[in-house]
Amino acid sequence: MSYGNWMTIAEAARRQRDGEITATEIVQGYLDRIATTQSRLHAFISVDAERALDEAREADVSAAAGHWRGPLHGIPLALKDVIASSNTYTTCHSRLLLDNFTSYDAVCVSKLRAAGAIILGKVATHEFAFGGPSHDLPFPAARNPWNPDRIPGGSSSGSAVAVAAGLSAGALGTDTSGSIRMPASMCGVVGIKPTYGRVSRDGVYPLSYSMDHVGPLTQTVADGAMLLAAMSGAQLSDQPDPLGLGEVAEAGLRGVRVGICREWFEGDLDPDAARVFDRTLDLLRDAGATVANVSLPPIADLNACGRIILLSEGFSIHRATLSARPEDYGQFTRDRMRLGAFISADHYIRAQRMRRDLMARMDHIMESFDILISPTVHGGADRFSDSTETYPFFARPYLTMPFDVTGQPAMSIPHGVTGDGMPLGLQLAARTGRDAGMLRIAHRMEKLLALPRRLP
Amino acid sequence: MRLLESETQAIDEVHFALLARAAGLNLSPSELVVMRRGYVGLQAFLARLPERPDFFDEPATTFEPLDTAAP
Repeated sequence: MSYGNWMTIAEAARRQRDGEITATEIVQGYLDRIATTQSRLHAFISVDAERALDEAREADVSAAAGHWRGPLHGIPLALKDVIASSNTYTTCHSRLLLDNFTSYDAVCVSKLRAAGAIILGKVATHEFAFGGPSHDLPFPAARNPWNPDRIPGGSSSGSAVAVAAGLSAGALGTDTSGSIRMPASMCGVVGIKPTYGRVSRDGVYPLSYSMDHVGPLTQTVADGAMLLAAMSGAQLSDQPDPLGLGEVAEAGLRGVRVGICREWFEGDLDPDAARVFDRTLDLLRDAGATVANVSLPPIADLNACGRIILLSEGFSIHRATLSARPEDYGQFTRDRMRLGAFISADHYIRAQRMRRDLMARMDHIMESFDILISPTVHGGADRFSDSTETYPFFARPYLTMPFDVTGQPAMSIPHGVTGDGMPLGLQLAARTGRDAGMLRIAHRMEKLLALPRRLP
Repeated sequence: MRLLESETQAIDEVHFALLARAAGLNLSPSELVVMRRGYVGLQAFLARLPERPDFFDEPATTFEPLDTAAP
C-alpha cells in the first residue's frame, strides 16, 4: 500500500461514497502492507485475507446498488486476539488456546460488522492481556513501528502497532490497567477506554471482571468516536459523525475546566515527557481553557486497589490451568498471575470496598472539572532489552490504572515525541458516563496540538 | 538471642515456601526466588487497604432495605 492510499476511517468512508475508491481497493491495500511488514513488526497473529476480500467485494456490490450498510461500510479493522470472531482462532496469544476455534462473534464485533466493518484478522497481545512483553510464547511479540527495538506497550500491543503502521484502519483492544492507552501512547495513536460497561464484553476473554473494558485504537479522535458509537450500541445511522465532533471542531477550548493530575507524576516524568506536557499546558491556557492542579486520592492507593482486584480475579480465572498446565503459560503470565494465590477473601473484599470509596471521591472531584489530564505514561517506549522485570507494576504506579478502578472514561491522544522520535501520549479522563463530552474535548485538543499525521 | 542476617533470610525463604505450598502453588526453587520478590511487593499493596469500618458508621445506602422498591 502506498502512503498516498493511507487514510483515516472518516476519509475512507467519504471517499467510498464519493466513488473515489472501493472497499476492495482499501482492503487489498492494507493486506499488501501487512504482508510487507509482518516479518519486522509481528503485529498480526492471523490474517483472513480471503474472507476480508470476499466481504469487501460484497460491500462494493452493495454500494453500487445504493445500499450502504452503515457508517463503517467497507472499513477494515483488526481485533486483539482475546476478542472472539467467527470462523477463526482466538488464542489470547497463548499456547493454552492454540486450538480455540471460535464460531461466533463477540457482541462488539457483531455491532461493528452490522455497521459495515470488515475484520482483517487477529493481532498480537500480551498473553491473556497480561503477561508481556514475552519471548516464550507461540507467537512473537509485536514491535514498535517507530523503532522495532522498542516495545509497543501493552497489552493491546498488536492493535496499536497495526494502526500506527497503517496495517489496519482501526483496531479493538482491551484495557484493565491501561492496556489500550499505554500502547496508544507508545505507538502514537488514539486509544479510548470507554466508561465501564458501555461496550459489551460478551465474547471477550476476561482478565478482571470488575475492571475489563473494550475500546478502539485509531489514528484520530473522530475515528475512535465512530467505532465507539458503533460498538456501544448507540443508534446507528448513516451519519459519519455520530457524536457531532465536526460541529465543535472550531469551538476552541475557552472555558473548558481542565484538572492536572500533577500529584500523580510530579518529579517522576522522564525529561522529554515533562517538556512535552508543559508545552501542552501552555497551548491549553493560550486557547482559553481554565487549567488548575487538582487534589486527588493517592496514585499508590489507586494502583494497590486495582492491582489486588486484578490479581484476585485473574487468578480465579486461571487457577485450574495454572495448576494443571503451568508450563504452557509464558513465564511473565505464570509468575504474575500466581500472586493472586496470596490474596485472601478479606483482602479482595476490602479492595472492592476501597474501590467504591475511590469512585465516589473521584465523582465528587469531577463536579469541578470537565476533564482531567496527565501524561499517559512517564516517558517514551522502553527497549525490549530493558523490559525484563517480572513485576513492573510494583516499581512505578501506572498513571492509567486509576480510571480502570473508577470506571471513568479515559483515553490517550498523541501530543509529542521524545528527543529520539518516540511518541508520547496525553491522557484525558472525564466523569463516568460522559464519554461523548471527553471525545469532544479530545477532538478540540487534537486540533490544537496540530501534530502532523505520519507513518513510521 | 539475635539471629544473623543470613539466618533471618533463610527463615523468610522457608516461610515463603510454606506459604506458597499452603496457597496451592508447587514452585521450583528458581520460581520461589522470583515469586518471593512479587510477594514482598504485594504485601506493600495489601498494607494500603483500609481496615474494615465499623458497620454502624456505614452510610445508610450500603444496606438498602429490601422493601424500598415496594409500591
